Amino acid sequence: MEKVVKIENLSKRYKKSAVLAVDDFSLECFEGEIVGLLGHNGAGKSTTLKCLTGMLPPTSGKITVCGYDVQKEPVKAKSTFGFVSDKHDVFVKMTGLEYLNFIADAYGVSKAERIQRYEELEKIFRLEDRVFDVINDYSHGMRQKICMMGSLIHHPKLWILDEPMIGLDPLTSARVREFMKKYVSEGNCILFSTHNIASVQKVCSRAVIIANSKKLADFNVADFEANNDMTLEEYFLQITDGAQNDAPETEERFE
Amino acid sequence: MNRFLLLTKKQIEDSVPQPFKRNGNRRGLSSMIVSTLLMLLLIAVMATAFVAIFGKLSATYVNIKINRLPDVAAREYELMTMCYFALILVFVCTSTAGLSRALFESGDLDALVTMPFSANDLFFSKLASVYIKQTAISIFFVTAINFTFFVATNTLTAYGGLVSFAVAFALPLVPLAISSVVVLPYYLLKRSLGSRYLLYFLLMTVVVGLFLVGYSYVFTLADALLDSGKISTLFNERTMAKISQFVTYAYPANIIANLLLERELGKSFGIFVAINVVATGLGIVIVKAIFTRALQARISLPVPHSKKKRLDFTEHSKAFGLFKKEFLSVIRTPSYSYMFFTTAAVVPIMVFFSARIGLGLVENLVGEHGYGFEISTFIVLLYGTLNNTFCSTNVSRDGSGAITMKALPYSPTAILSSKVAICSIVSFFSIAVSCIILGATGLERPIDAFVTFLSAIMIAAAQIFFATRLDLMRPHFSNTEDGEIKEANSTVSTVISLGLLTSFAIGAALLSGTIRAIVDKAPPTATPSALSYVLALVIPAVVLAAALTFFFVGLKRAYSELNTEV
Repeated sequence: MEKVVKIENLSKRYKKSAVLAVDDFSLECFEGEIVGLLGHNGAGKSTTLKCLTGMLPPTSGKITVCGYDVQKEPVKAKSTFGFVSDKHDVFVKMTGLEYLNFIADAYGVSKAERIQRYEELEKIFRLEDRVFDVINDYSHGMRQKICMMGSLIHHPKLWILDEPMIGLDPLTSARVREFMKKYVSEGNCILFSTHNIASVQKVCSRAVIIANSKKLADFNVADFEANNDMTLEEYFLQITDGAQNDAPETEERFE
Repeated sequence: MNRFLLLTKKQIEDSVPQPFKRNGNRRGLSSMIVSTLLMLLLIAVMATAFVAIFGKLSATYVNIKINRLPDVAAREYELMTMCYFALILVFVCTSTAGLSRALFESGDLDALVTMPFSANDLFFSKLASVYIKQTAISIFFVTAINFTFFVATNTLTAYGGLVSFAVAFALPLVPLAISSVVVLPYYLLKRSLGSRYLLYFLLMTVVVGLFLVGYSYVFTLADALLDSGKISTLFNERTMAKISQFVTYAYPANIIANLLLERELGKSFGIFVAINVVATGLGIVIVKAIFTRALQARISLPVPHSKKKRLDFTEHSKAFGLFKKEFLSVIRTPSYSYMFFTTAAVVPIMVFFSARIGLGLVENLVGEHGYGFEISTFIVLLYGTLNNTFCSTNVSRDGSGAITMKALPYSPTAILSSKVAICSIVSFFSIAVSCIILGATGLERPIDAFVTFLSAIMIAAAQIFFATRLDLMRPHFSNTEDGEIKEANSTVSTVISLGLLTSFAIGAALLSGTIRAIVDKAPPTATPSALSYVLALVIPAVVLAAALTFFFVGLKRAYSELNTEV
């Protein structure tokens, strides 16, 4: 299987912070994998994804996506993935259809491909006639759906999602999970962050646990469940609780 | 603190524009001081201009004779009645907008209703905050009008001062009562226009255009008044008869005029008190009825679902996609569309009137028509500068989208160029129309108008590049759900200040020769001097080169560090 993501010794420190938001983080993801980044709030999941997608410059380390260095060849690297942010209040002045066309234009998707992909995605997300409405009038869940549709309109090799299941109704969540499995079976890769352990159990082939900016564990979910007496939740709480106790005091975190 | 006072204080604090709030650090404090000083300076300039013009008008108006007979008391009554009638109309507009914001648009009710505040606390705090803001404006206007009038007509007394004080506090009550009746239709109309973007833009452009034409007419009259002390063309016998008839029925403005001029004191006082008591009662009852409904069900129009249209998946270039995104974000946000497109559309009107007045002034001084190029170029630069301040929010306007864009396969130059492009197209078009009008109406020669155009577009481009880069370095993202920026920030102030400074510097350089010639009473030459052309083209070219350097140096790094959260 081909390597899709390679993160080497990534560290990220925000401007006004004394501590690292991500500390010496390394990860490799391959074709056919669904990798879940699992961690509590503020663990460093979103910062990792923002560095991976080129939204934030890393303080140190190297990131490549499909062989392209995100820092040195950003446009080529970004052409290979689709990203769903945890913020959906974006491009709210466009209609859903205008948004999809805007993203498709950005990735250079042909008209025929747009139509075909829209039809496929519409079966999952069911926006129906609301696709003609301005996104500002959408509910939170609908905004999330249109963002997901946009991120898939160019059929990316890598699909990156930040907290994807929050706000989706159970039916759509189930459809999205099924879609994810089918998508990676076509040789693609999915990487998503979450603090929902059940989501990881239901859909991920691999789980990576982050706490206090550091990677604590990286394991195959099926193997873990087959070889451990404790549940994934118990394991997560056990190792993140220890890491929490080692965390610096609040006043040390900011200059 | 009492809950009502706590809520009222919050409402007042929320309505203070961001530049006048202290942000807790030294930069925030200095920014607040600068903004306050600038605002005070602006108020002082406006007040001085008002006092000069209204003082002259008052002195002139009270001496108007009808059938060659003077009647100072009648003229004073007419003038004050008309002033207060106009003031009441202005207050109806401002208090309707204020009530609409407080009741329907502020969005804080959703949170406040879940807190331990009674409906009465919420209602009276909202109403009180609108009244307090209106009273602050009223104190300013009533003081300026009354004292200018009293001094100009030699009628200043302690009684006049005392009644002025009482009137300042009572004046907002009647407009508030009228506003309480019209606020709901106003809000519904505003909401329905809010989703008809093009109609809203056209409507606003027509309204602002007409306002500016009216303003320039008043300005021309004021100019004539200050120049000759007469405006006989306006106040002829027919007009005076109409004014006399109008003030008889202009309630409650004529009652206020009676009180201020000590006419029919007992009767006027009784009517004034009665009108205000009824207005206050009516206002409270109606607003409370609307407020209760707003609290219970939140008055809202159903979301306008579009009818099923054809799924159009036409391909466009990456650059076109970015440009379209920028255009839609402006045209579909009424405040942006007004600030940018409407302003750009009405700039040619302002340029025309200002250039005409400026050239008329020169003609009065030297007795001949001339210096069209220098004056026109200065005026076009000045108005172009004011229009381009909208570009100071080029990055901030994207809100959360600014960082989401970074995950898309666009280079920083492509993303920022689309913003610069839309600003430039609108700005250049506005400047081009202004110059065509100047050339076509003979205010300057067509060839000079072309040089004015070149000079102005270089300054406009420089300002747009500078403003965009400055916003990238110091973005001010809005906390609202749709990311709409509703108030000016320090970048806007910086861009306005530098833009005006540059325009004035170029204007001063261009007009220095003109002023010298006027002082020497030298007749204007048929064509501008070679130095004027050089100044008009070389300085903007240097400014543009500096702005381009500022824009491009370190652009990628600055863009990569852009973050909406930290």
